[in-house]
Amino acid sequence: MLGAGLVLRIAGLLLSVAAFVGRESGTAGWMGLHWSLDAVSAPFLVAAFLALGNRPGQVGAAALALLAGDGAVLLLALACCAALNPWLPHGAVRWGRVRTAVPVACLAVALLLLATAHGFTPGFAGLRAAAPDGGRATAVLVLTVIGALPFLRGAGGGLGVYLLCRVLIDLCGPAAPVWSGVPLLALGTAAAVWGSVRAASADDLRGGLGAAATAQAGLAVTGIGIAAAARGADLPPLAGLALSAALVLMLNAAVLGALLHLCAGAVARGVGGTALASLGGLARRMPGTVLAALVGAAGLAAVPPLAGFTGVWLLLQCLLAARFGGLAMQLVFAAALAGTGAASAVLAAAALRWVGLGFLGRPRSTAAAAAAEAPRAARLCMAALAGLVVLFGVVPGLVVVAVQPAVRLLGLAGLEDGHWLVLAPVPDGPVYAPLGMLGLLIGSAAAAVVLVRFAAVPGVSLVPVWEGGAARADSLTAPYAPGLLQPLRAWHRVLDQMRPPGVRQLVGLLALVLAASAIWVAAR
Amino acid sequence: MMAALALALHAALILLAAPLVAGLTRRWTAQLAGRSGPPLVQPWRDLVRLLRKQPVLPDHTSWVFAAAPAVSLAAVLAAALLVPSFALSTAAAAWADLLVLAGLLALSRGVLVLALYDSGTAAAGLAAGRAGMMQGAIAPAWLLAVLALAMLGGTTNLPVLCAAVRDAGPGLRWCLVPALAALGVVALAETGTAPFGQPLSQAVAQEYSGRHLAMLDYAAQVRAVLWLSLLAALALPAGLAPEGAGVPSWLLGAALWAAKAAGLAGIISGISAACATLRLRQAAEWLLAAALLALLAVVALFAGQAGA
Repeated sequence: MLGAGLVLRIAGLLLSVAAFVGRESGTAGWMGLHWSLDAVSAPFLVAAFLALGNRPGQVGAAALALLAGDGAVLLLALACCAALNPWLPHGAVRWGRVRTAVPVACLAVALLLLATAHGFTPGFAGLRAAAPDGGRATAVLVLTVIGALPFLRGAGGGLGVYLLCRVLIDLCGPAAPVWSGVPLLALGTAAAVWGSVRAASADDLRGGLGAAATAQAGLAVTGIGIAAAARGADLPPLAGLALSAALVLMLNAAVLGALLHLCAGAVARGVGGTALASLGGLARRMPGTVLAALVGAAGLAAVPPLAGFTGVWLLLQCLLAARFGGLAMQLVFAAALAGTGAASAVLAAAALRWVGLGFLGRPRSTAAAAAAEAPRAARLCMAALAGLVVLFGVVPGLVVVAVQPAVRLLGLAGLEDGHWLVLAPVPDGPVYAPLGMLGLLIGSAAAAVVLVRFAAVPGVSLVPVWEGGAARADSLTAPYAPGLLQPLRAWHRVLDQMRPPGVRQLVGLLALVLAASAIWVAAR
Repeated sequence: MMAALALALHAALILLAAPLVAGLTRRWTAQLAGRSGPPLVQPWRDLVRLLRKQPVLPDHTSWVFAAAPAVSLAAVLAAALLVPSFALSTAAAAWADLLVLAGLLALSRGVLVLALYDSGTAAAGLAAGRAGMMQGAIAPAWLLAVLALAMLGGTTNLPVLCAAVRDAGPGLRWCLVPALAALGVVALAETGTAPFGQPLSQAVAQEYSGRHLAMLDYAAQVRAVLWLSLLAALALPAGLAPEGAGVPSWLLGAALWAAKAAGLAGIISGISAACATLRLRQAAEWLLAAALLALLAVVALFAGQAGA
């Protein structure tokens, strides 16, 4: 598992570097795929390093080397991902340095705060021993959140989740107060809503996928926020369920993102661009790609029984079951529930819009009308990933069981093994049986089709589309991306006016957080 | 065996009653507006008429457009099987989760949105965009209402929730009233009833014909009955046959379900006759108010449970 985690991590890094080089040379293609696959490494890395820490007899030179490698990977990934952050204007090296420096500083101070009580020792035993200090744990928590933000912004969501799991749940542990999950809940929900609105407003296939990745990372962070709060409230089962939900969300998002990025790549190759204004009408020219894109979009829309629904269902169950911490916490959880629901619904609308405008309808350009299907190898990859989306949805245990080692090694109560087809996170609680749902759906569809076939007139008549009396019924009257912003226009205007914080704001924020942390620690 | 029989009878009841309830609502709405209204069986006649017509499809559409009505109907039927009508214990009772129910309804709606995108006309595209985005306003109210129910029942399993509401004390049941009102607003928005209008249904009716339109009309009728059954089961759970009950309890439950569904259909008819269709922004405001109502129920339940 350690090897798998490191291989996935390093493969993601190599893809990241390739993406960076590719972007400079104008042939970017790997970045989206890297962002998607990056998320896969998080649970494996968590489980691997924690398992290593639980076997002190075997901690020797190899373990130290691996830990050093872990740190090197973290720093390398931090630099790469910060440099590739979508907030950055292209080629703004100075901004890149600032954006790299701030999270690194935050993480370094967080580690120092953890280590000051007992002195720094290689490995994590000394760091864990420092955890019982609540004030220090709180300061570490805030700094880690700031440090992990660039990753959760879209570049390297898996690394962000890994950092949050390791530092917040592993190192801080039960010392973190109950409200420690509140910042993560707020950040995660805001990121999910932000990303989903951006995805629903995107005018490009790849841009929409990047925004959707932000939304899914936000949902995962919401799950980690619940886990941190529940850990602080000494509720390991709920914390374990929430962390399982976060990791399942990330794993499924990785598969969905990889599939949809491959579809977007196939369109870029077959049509010559990914702008929604020049796409459409691909269902006949690229049938395999369109089928894969439909499966991926349905998974992204989180409809049962596909893969995306499992994580969302677990996350919503956690939010519904979180009843601790007084009325104020209840209101926080209720707000997070409402925000998560809104984000999921808008993300579903974005997924439908993505596939509807990009692949269906009438072609909006001559290039789209003459699009070429993806090569056979690419179609095989897409078919395999689409199969995984269906398989992970119908057999949710495959993903849920895969993340349980990480959950258990973090000291949380994992879900019971042996339930491959049915999710029942709480005894005598709600049950999700996707295979049964699939059976109901297929049975209902078969009954409807058979009944209609016997009772209805056979055949169909194909005619040119009626455009309500318009003189020309061609692609000029077809819906296109900007025209569909109408319900979102007010939100979109607000979002467009928001800008990322400048250097002074970031330094000021950092100073403020450091001062508050120092006061807190001193007061304790 | 009894659970499977109960599920089959429940399916038959819903499938047969759906067009009748639609006819009842249309007739009462017309009568409240001073007109005589169509006969009760008019929806059945419309379905038969549509099945006898050959469908006309736009020539540029893909297989998605042709398959959408069947998939949408299948998703609604699967969802309807999860909602209890006369008995709490059916073969699908263990799967009857409110979040899964919402997912199946989203699948049904999402397929139609895709079909509208595939038709490629300006009006259909606009309706698809609006229908998709309206869900962003519906979801918070729906989930907060589910939260209030889950606080009472400790689960999102629908039969367990119904039993919990039935067995709860009067204080806690009063706390649930705002949440059920919010759920009623969500039901109006989900079924496209006035004052929320029917952008999706109207756009679909313009794009489809023949057997495809028959399936979509029938899906809309089943969706309406599903919501009536859901509201009836949660707000008025008395009369639902408990686990292990026999045929007499089922018959009593079916009779009471018919009465409850008719009463709720009357309320919907009154709202439809009295309210004009809202603009999009006003509809969102209504749904925000519903979410706040559900939040009020959450706070009240929290206070009630903390006091107990």
